[in-house]
Amino acid sequence: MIWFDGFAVRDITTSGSVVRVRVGGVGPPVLLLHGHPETHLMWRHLAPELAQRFTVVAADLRGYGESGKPPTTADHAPYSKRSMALDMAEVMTALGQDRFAVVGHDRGGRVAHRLARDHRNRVAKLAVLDICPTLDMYECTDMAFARAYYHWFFLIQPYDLPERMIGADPAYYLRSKLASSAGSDVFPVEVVAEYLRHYARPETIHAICEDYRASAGIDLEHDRADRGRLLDVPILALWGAKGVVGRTFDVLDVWRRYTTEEVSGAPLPCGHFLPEEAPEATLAALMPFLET
Amino acid sequence: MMFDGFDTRRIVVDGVDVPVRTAGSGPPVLLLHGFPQTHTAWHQVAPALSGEFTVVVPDLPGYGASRGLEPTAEKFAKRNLARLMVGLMDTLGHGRFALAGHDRGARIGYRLALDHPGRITRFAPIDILPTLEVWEAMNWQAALGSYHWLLLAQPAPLPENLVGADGPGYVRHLIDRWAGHHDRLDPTAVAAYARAFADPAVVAAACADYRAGATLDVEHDRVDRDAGRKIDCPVLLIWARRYLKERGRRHLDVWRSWAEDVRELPLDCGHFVAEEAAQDCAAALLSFFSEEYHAR
Repeated sequence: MIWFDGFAVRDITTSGSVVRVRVGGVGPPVLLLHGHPETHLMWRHLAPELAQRFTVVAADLRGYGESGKPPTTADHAPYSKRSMALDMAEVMTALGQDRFAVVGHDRGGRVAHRLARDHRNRVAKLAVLDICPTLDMYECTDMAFARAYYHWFFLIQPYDLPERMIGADPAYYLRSKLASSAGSDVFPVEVVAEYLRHYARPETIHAICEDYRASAGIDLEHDRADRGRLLDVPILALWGAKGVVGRTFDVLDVWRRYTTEEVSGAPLPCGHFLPEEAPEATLAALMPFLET
Repeated sequence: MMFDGFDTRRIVVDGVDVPVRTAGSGPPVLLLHGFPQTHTAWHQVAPALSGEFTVVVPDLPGYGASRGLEPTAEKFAKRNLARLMVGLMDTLGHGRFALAGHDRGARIGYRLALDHPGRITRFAPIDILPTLEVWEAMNWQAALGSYHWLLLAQPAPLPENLVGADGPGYVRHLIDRWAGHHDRLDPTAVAAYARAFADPAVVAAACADYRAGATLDVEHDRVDRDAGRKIDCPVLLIWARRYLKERGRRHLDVWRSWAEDVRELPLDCGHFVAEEAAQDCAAALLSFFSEEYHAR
């Protein structure tokens, strides 16, 4: 199985880490950011299609996949979305791309949102897959949301409880996470094996917990400081019709409170992993947004 | 030695094997422990009560050394656990009895009071609010503090596997987190709590208990509240200042919507009230339970 055929692999050193990217295609630049518990491999269906029209950069987030896992601090700042977004701004600079579109899924969506806020003149368009902004999600927490998103509260428990509990059997945890969030069984054995190759590393599990811990602390501080400061980029929000996000929020309405430009989007017929569960529908929604 | 002079028996109630310690004479008192513990949690309070009362101290179904209850939310609904506790007391010949319950034991206690009016003379819930109230107050800070409610209620076998990877380690983690005066916990007792969770059957039981707590128990509470049904006996709420923090509504006021006659005793300790504030707890229960008989 060849993934990302024709794409180059690069490891780009940033001011705070090293970022693994796949780069392919020609045209206007598009940055693809994956989520938990995955790596850039989640874009394997979309990246080659997008590469026909765009210069595609699919990165591993700091802490995930082959990217660096710098030591954390008490305030989790190295895993703040601000630090993770800065990585991506520096990666695009290194690739000679000044202004670009960003497509982020799950954690990658949160990094994309922060990237657009912290580097306003760099991000031309923002597409967010199956998320609402972190602050809204925490502030709306009630019984139904807390039960559905239990991992938000589990992974942010103090070091090293979740690290130990997941680390006892990472394969089990990874598989159950994929299965419980997906609307269907769409993960081939070799894809799960590749995700697991990274997930099984204790430093990855720790970095993931730090990503979530940052989101319950320092990221919220940054988000609150930005409240009312609107973006001026168009936003495309897509979400899984079988998932929690659409059930909990009026997704487009929430995103409309974050930008002065147009917000568009729709639910797609799948669970949480849109680009893997419904790649054609995801591509069909992304293409016109990125092309105009 | 703990539980010196107590009889240790195993009573089978509806197919469930319930180990129980009994001692003393006088009116009966049922003591129900919580999560993640065993009947050993009462090792100081039970002897103190046995001078005036017949004290009955079981392991909750599925916990400690109790076996035989299938780990499903239906079986671990507080309604069913309360029914089993009534069966236990019937077997021991106790028609009416006082009840003190800590944590999950207190949830069984209030369900028993609501489902079996007339059976409980006096009820002392320790360090909880009713399940429905906890869920209705769930926001992200509460979810962070009570994340085990969310984790343990996830579909099987996720929490079973995560907790079961090191059950004793998980128990020690929770005790460290919830205790206010860790030095007041007997190391032998803590070792017993931890050891119980080395058995996957106990882990599965606890998960079923919390799954019920996120589903059936909530619905049963709601039906009672909608019907205006209240606990018909005097209630003494004992709560831990270092654990059950008051945010907004007072605990006493919450409980007053579930029972007519409620008083409270906050104590300066963590969640393990019967061990961290054993003397105060025992004295309060003695005085509260004795009123029933002095009043006659």
